[in-house]
Amino acid sequence: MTTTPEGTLALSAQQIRKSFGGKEILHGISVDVKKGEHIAIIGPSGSGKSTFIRCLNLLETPDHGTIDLHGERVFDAVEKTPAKSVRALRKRVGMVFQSFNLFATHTALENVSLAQRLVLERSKTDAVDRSEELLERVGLKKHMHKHPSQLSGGQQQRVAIARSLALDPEVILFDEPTSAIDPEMRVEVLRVMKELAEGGMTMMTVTHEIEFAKEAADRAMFLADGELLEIGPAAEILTDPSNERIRRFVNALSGVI
Amino acid sequence: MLEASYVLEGLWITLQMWGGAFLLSVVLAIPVAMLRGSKNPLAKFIGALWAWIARGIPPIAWLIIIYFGLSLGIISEVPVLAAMVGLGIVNSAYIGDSIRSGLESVSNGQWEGAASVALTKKDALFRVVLPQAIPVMLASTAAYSITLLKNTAIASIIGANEMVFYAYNAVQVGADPITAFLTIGIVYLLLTVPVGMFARWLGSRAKRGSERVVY
Ligand SMILES: Nc1ncnc2c1ncn2[C@@H]1O[C@H](COP(=O)(O)OP(=O)(O)OP(=O)(O)O)[C@@H](O)[C@H]1O
Ligand SMILES: [Mg+2]
Repeated sequence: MTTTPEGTLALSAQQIRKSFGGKEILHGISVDVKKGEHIAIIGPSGSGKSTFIRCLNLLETPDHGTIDLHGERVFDAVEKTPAKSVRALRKRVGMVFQSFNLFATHTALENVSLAQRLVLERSKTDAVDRSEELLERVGLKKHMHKHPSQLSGGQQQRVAIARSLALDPEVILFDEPTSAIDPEMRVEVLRVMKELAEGGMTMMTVTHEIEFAKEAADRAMFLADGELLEIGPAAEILTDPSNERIRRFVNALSGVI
Repeated sequence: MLEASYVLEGLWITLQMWGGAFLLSVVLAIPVAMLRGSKNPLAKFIGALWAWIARGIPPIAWLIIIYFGLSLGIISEVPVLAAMVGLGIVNSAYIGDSIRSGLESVSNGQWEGAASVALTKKDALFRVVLPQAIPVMLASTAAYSITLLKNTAIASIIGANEMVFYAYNAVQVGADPITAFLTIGIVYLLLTVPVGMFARWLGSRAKRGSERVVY
């Protein structure tokens, strides 16, 4: 299936298909993500970008296809995946949402600690220590006792990144992490993501921020109408796309006509 | 003249029926809400059928059916118990709605946020969703509780010696009807005051409790 030596593949999704109400949205998408690689996912609205990455942590269950993590089969659509295995996968594949989805009745610290306590069964002190460390890393330690409603969008998203990191995932998926944030607040989130990518985290990011993708992603994949149109080095695909459709899309996003 | 001691005695029975019917309705409402929220069409149907019958038959008819029509052992022999069961059934449909709308008021993103960090459905429900849903549930539950309180007056029909029963008896033996019913009316009115306060208190407690789970 792949020419890359097995041990270096963090995530391999093969032939992912998904239908909603009888209409097929994803027509068999495959991607191999190397360990430490950052893949940007771009494409027009409705092309299936969100559906695709939601399939990768089983927030949507693919109708067809397989998912491997570090060479281990963690999902195969021909078998029913028990709830326990779904959770085991989600522990290994984190997700950061466009709308943050922080736990509204919990403080930033509690948001980051909750799964450490319940999923990793860490002691309270260990969970708090780790949470403080992560919040420090995203620059929010001094806000750790605030609730999401008291934080700006950019701050909430950084708490969400810390929450995801708290489980030490092998891969983190980002679905338009800055789309719901005021432009001037985006840089901090993008900076944290860039640091993560440089630090060797394996990432997949759905984004419309072409400059960010060029700079921070290794490869870019372009989805159109539920198909993978092209995948290749981010700088190449996003700077001088050979595919006419991608060129038009990228130019439109960059404001070039 | 409606004697104070009778008002107090009636009040005690009213409170018993109110509390008993409320507790029963909550116990019944949880499975009703689960059935109605289920994806299984049969379960959904059974839940909807229960709510339809519980709500569609007037409370007074429920009480008479349970007290005179069914032989449910001690329940059908003691008016207070028959009233608790009848009003509990009626109220379960309303509380079931209130549980459901409370859960639906919490955005799907909260469930997804919980799922994304590998929480079980149960943990997502108890640690993330319910702390947000409970204050919403309590607001509507408080309103239904006041209706439930007033519906306990119906139990006088089947001979439960609650406040209306005593007021009516007093009038039968010559008390002034306006004074008698105004007196118990004020007692009902006063009872509704703590309900709102209690709901608010429970709401803030539920919220704090959920945070204490971690710390
Ligand atoms: N739960 C669902 N039920 C039905 N249809 C859905 C569902 N989720 C997505 N779709 C449909 O699938 C298609 C792809 O949606 P998706 O959200 O994956 O696109 P996207 O590329 O992320 O778009 P955007 O850039 O607007 O976020 C759309 O036509 C959408 O209406
Ligand atoms: Mg999307």
